[in-house]
Amino acid sequence: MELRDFWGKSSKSWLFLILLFIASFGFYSNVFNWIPRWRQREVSQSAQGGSKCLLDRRTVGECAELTRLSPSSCEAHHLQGQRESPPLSEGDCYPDTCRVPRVPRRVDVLLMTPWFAPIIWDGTYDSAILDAQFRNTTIGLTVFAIKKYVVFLKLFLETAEKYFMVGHRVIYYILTDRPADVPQIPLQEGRRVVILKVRNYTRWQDVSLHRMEMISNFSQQRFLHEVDYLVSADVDMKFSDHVGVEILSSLFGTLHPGFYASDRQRFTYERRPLSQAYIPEDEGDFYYAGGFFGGSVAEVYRLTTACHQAMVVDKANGIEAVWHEESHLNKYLLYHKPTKVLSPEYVWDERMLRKPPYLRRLRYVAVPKNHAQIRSR
Amino acid sequence: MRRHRLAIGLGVCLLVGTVLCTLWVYVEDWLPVSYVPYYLPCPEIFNMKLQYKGEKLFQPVAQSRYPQPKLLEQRPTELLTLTPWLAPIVSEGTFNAELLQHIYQPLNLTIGLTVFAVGKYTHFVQHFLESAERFFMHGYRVCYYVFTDDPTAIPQVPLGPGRRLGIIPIQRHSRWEEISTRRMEIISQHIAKRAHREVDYLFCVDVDMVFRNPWGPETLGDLVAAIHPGYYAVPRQQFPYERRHVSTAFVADGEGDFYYGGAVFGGRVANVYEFTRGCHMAILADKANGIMAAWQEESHLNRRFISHKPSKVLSPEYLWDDRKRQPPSLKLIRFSTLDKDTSWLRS
Repeated sequence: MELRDFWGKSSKSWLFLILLFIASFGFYSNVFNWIPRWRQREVSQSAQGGSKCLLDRRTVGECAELTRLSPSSCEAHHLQGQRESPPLSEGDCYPDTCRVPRVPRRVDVLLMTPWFAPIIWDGTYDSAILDAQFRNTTIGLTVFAIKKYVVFLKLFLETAEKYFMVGHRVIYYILTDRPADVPQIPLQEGRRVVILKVRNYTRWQDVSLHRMEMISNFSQQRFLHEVDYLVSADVDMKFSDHVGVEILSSLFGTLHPGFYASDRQRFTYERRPLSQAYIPEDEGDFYYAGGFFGGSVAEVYRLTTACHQAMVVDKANGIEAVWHEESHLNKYLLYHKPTKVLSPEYVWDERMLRKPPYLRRLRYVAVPKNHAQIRSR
Repeated sequence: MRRHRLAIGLGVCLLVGTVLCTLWVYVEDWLPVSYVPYYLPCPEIFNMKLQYKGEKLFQPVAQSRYPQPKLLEQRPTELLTLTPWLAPIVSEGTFNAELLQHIYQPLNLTIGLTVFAVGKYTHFVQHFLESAERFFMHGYRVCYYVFTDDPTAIPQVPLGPGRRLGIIPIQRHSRWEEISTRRMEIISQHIAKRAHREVDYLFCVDVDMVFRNPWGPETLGDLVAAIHPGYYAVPRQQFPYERRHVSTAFVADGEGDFYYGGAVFGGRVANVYEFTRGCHMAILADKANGIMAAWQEESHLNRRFISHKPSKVLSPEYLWDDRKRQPPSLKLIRFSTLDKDTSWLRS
């Protein structure tokens, strides 16, 4: 009886309270639906079943592509780097690969060869996208410092530290006959120097010619296991502007700064039919510089082996190509087309040539030297 | 007195409500997941190791006479020739067909061409194959793969030497969107089962089109995409990407290089396998969320091409819509639509 009395007295207010409770419950459920974060939780929960199915497999890498399912279930690290940057969509992409490129068009120069090799000029590429595409790549830079040429190493290495493949793993291969004279240069992280002792030759022409043989030998022994791409550069030069992963491809050559505007008849190819490096007057695309070429280790190995064999045959026939290994390089690149061609920005000589307006950057330039003195014993 | 009780009641309700909702949020995560969509198999293609045909090394190019490339050319470029990630954009005038023939002919390549002819689309096969016989990869070994639900409806088209036709039966679905989205799955499974042994390069195209001009080795590359003819001159904000965040094909407002057409893509068979597999998995994820992308697998294709950029891009010459007027910048239309009545076809 007491209970009924209790109820009777305040039944109206109790009813009112119950109604209020129901109303507020409805209010809460609706309000929380409007907050998008909560809505996604509902959506992602329904998808968790699917992700569980795929996560059980060994292919966890595959699951990384399905990050849309639920940020908590799949690989979170793919999204870590993207929390900060605004509207990039989440997904399987490394942030910079999906970056919007801002690249002005160049209309004053040829950008692509007739066999689809891009010609690399300033303003034709987006560095950020390319850096992301080549992010796990190791690049080897081979340089020869025979006899007195060791004096060029310091400036070469210092400028390479500043400009060459910054941000990527680099191994400098210094092929020298004087390992003790190689200077100690402070190196940035991910970069190291490997000194390889080689023999010297009396004649400077022989030194130049045998570079191909040495690179070929070391490619098989070492380079194949240590680096992905190989760049062969002259030592009597310095880097003066950015040289990055835009140059990397299976096989690349650089346009010689003295002949980029010439007709093919004026190229200083080897014109004697007896030589293996012979190129007739009506053939030839470009005149490539011997001082900067490269590519994947396999392709560089093929190139250097072929050039070395051609030089051995020439020696047996008692003939030496007019520009030594540069002639043989040109012969090889005529019949094995490079997959990228570097503009004269990548090999230049400021004192001998006047800089034209379409050459916006000078990245790798000659260092003045006294020829007679440096090439003597 | 009443107001006092009312106030207390209200306060208690709010408090209880908040507590319950917070509890619910945490409890939700502990609940055992019971929803496993039946159409999410864990197909064995995840674990297959494919043995591809060996990669062909380029041979020395035979001597050929062609004009010297001019480095300092001042020609007005209407079409872009190079993407910002240094992939060539193929259009007439950017390449020397004879030179490319000298490069690719000695490699003895086999090129595959997949095409889907389901339901009434089998009517297009005759015209398609005849035009392909005339213009597609002349002088190379070609394998046509025609996927159809009715193998008897595929006509006998005379094929040239070194070219053959494979008819693969597939299941027909009721909705045309379903047929369209299943293509990625079917292509990747077909590569895993058969094509990886038979071809070096593979192209996947739509059947309701014809070849109108030579389509040759200039299109060969590691991963090849074609620019959609309707959007090549349009800013990226107007691309019909999937714009819903929930979808795996979502593309944010400022993203995107080109809008690629789903009707043409291809490349080395290993790369096409990875590509179609990736797209298929993204489509599966969307299915689990109960969403279908705005342009079905074309949206997923575009999403994937943003993060895995193509190594070669084909200009709209290689994927054209004949209903549009041909602009002067496109010199030679090679592959374009056949006029058709879509409503009749999809019924």
